[in-house]
Amino acid sequence: MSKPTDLLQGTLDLLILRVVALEPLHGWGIAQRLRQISGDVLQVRQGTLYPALHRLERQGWIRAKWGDSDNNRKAKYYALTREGRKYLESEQTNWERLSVAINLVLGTAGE
Amino acid sequence: MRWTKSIAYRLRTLLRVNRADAELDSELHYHLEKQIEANIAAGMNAGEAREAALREFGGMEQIREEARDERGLNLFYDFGRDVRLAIRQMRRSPGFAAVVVLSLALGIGANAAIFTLAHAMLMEPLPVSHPEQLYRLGDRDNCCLIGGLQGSYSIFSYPFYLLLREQTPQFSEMAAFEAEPQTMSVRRSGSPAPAQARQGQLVAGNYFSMFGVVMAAGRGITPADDRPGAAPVAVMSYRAWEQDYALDPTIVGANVTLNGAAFTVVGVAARGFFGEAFRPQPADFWMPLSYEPTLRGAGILGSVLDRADECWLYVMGRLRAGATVAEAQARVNVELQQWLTSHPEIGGSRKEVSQQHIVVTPGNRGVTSVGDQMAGGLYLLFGISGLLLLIACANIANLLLARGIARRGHTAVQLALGASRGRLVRQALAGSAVLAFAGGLAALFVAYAGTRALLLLTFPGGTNAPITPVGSRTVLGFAFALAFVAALVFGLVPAWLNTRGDPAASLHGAGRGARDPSSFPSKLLLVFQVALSFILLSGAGLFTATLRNLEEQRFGFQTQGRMMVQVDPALAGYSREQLYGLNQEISERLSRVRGVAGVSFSLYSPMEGHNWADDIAVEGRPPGYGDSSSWDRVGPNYFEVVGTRVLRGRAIGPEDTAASPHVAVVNETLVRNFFSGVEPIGKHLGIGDKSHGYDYEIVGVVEDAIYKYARKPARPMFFLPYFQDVDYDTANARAIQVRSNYIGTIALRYSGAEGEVEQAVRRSLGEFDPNLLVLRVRTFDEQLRANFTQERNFAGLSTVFSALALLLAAIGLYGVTAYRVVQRTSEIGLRIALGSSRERVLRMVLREVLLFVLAGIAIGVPGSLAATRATASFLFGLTPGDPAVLAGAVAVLAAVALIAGFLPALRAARVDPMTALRHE
Repeated sequence: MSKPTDLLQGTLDLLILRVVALEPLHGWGIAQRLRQISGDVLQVRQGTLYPALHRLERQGWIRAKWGDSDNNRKAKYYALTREGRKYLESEQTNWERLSVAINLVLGTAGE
Repeated sequence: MRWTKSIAYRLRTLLRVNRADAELDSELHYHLEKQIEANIAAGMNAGEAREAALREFGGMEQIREEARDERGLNLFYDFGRDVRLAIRQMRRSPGFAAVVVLSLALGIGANAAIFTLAHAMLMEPLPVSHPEQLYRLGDRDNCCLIGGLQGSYSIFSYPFYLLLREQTPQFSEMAAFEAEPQTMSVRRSGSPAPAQARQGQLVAGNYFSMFGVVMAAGRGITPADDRPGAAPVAVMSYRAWEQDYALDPTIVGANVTLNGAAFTVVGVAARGFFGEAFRPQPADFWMPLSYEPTLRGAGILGSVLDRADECWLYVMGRLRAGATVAEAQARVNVELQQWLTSHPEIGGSRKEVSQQHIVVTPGNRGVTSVGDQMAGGLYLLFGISGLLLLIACANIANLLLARGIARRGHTAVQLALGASRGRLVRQALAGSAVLAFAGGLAALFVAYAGTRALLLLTFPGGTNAPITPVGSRTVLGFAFALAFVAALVFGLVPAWLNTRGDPAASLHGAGRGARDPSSFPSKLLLVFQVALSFILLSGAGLFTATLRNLEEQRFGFQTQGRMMVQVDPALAGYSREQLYGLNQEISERLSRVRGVAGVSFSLYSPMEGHNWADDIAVEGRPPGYGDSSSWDRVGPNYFEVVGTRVLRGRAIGPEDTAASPHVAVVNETLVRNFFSGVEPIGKHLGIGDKSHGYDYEIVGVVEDAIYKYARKPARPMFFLPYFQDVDYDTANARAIQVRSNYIGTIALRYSGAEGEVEQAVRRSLGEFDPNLLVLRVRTFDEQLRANFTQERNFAGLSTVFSALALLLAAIGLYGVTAYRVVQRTSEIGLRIALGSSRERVLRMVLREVLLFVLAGIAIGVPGSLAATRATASFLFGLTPGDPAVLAGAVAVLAAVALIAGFLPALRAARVDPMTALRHE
């Protein structure tokens, strides 16, 4: 896809938390992982990603730590906190319910 | 609790602001490098890879901004930046900043000075331990000696106090004290220096322990000292120790003579403790109640310590933990009723007695009567200074508006570049806050000077009132809170107005010369200022006229070249028998002093503050009329020395002795009231019931003289010679007669330097008897003027404030007029080019200025009438709506306005049409 799909802010938060839940990642890694898993559909711009990361950090759902990356360069890694994990689980449940409902509507309405 | 984490995060990043920014930069850099790597891996060369990566990145700065936004710290960053910007702006236009800061300093400082006084007098709790537990029995100011029923009992007898203390379990402690400190004669034992007048107060043994006062030296008075037969001890106040004894450590254990009796100073109270009430003259010494007979026994009634029916003590106590005020009050009222019924000598019918009650009031500020009395005056002062601050704020707002108009282009650019209006308003407010802060700082200096000036004005004879001009934290807080409010008041409206408007139009210069939308608020502010200045001006006029009316009325005596010496022979231990010799000695000695042209003496002199009045009996007048008159005892030559004219008959002279026929001299009002036109000379009168109607023969009539109440016409009054006594039935009346034969004031006519004569007089008296207490020496004029201190203060302060307000209004008028002339330059040029004379232009501008004044007066007059209606009781000889005063205020305002507008008007008249028309 040439043009990245617009994502709602809340949805982006959810995606970032999901990615980071697997393992701590730096900003670049998070963007790459999102691209990979979504099959190139979701391409987050840096201008959207970093503010979102800082917002999540302020709200206490992720924690940041500087660590060594490949080639011994320093990068800032983000990891999920306990509150973040709880938030992720509840939001994921909500999202699944929502998407099922939307699919139902689209399925029947588009007949 | 997410919000706590959020706040913690914000605080952390706030403290590491720079590091956070640097971290973000490294993060972004790392991301960029990885993107470049990926691009190279995807097949681009180094240059293309970098370009593609950068393009995708977008604006670094915007990312930084957004990230910062998310960090939630923009408010702090922006405020810091705005403050720095405001400071830079202030430096660039120092004149503007100086005017603003100065006006604020004056306005806030004046308020803070008055607040310092008000706080100490009306708000501050006593400097004792746990003042909130203290309660007072009673709510009235019943000082100082009462024999009958009181209604709301607020002053108590010693035996009743003892009963209350023993039998009221709701109070864990209770202490009584003399209602007011009394003047005493004090001498350091063994010192040849003459006696000094100091304030002393009798207090119960547990006074210091109940208040929890720590001693600065030695010990306090204890219950062991407050027993009959205990050694005579006294405690000194810290202030007296500092002022009179220079903190001499040997004071503990030193002997002093109080009212002729020897006492040992056993301690000095803590610094800052001034007793149980705010007083301009606080106690210098405290003595145990049991010494009342020794120290006060020379009073009219003798000792009252054991009298159940003479009330002279105020009582305060600490409420026991768990007891309520209602319980305590119920209990003491029961005790009061029992006491009154078992002591019928106090008097009163059954119904009257049942109405007697005690109100238990909070005592955290002690006994509040003195402070409360001055409250009215303080509120008036607050009103005046509040007006001044408002005027200052209006002025500053106008200045800010004008500056905003001047920077219209700049603001337009900011708006066009995407600044939000809220952001710009915040910026303007930050600037106001900086100015207000600077103004608040400067105000502290003004407040310090102002408080000292206020103290001098309020207590002109000097005072030991416990007020420190170096404000407390409360005063500081008040000053800055006021500055903050002022910043909002003068900053908000200009900020709002200046950030309005169409950027494009402003940038193109449209609107210049046409109606400026923000000129209306500016004019409104100006009119508001003029109106407030008018109110202040008319107030000043009223107060000044009142003072003049009071001081220049016909008093019935002459103050020119006269001096008054107040003495107290009773405190020096003179007995009734010794008085004759004393009076002779004083007359002879003082008439020999250089510069003294005449000597006389009296029980009290005019406008000293005393007034002795009694029921009298007049020859031939039916009894039962409730006739009463003032009276005085005077020595030979008295009327000549004080300058009261003798109208008929003769004055009291040296021939009037104890052995000669009893005579009296009366004043015109007495003749009018009691003799209705009949010649009184040869008739008789006396003090008391009709059996005394023939005691004294009237031998002379003097003109009316005002002795105490300057705002009322003279009272009926008669004058008796010394030592011409009469028999009385009651002990009271006899005691009063004895007391009346003591000299209170020596009156002198003198010429030459007042200071030298005073020194000589003091020396002569001191040589004669160093124990004779000279309370005060001052000129008759000073004595008179001391009665009008409050009026003088108001007149002076309101005049000063009016002058300041006029100055501010003049600055405002000048500024607005000058600006409008600039605005209308092209129009004026056109007029002149079309033939209008320069004089007409001048008059046009000035007419506009006068229009402002008229508008201001139109609002100001009703405002002034409303505001000064509250002061009607204070005025003398005129009403709040006095036309002369109002007309005067109008005239002054018009004159100031014309002067303020003259320069701009002149400039307008000198406009060169050619340049004006070319002026875009």
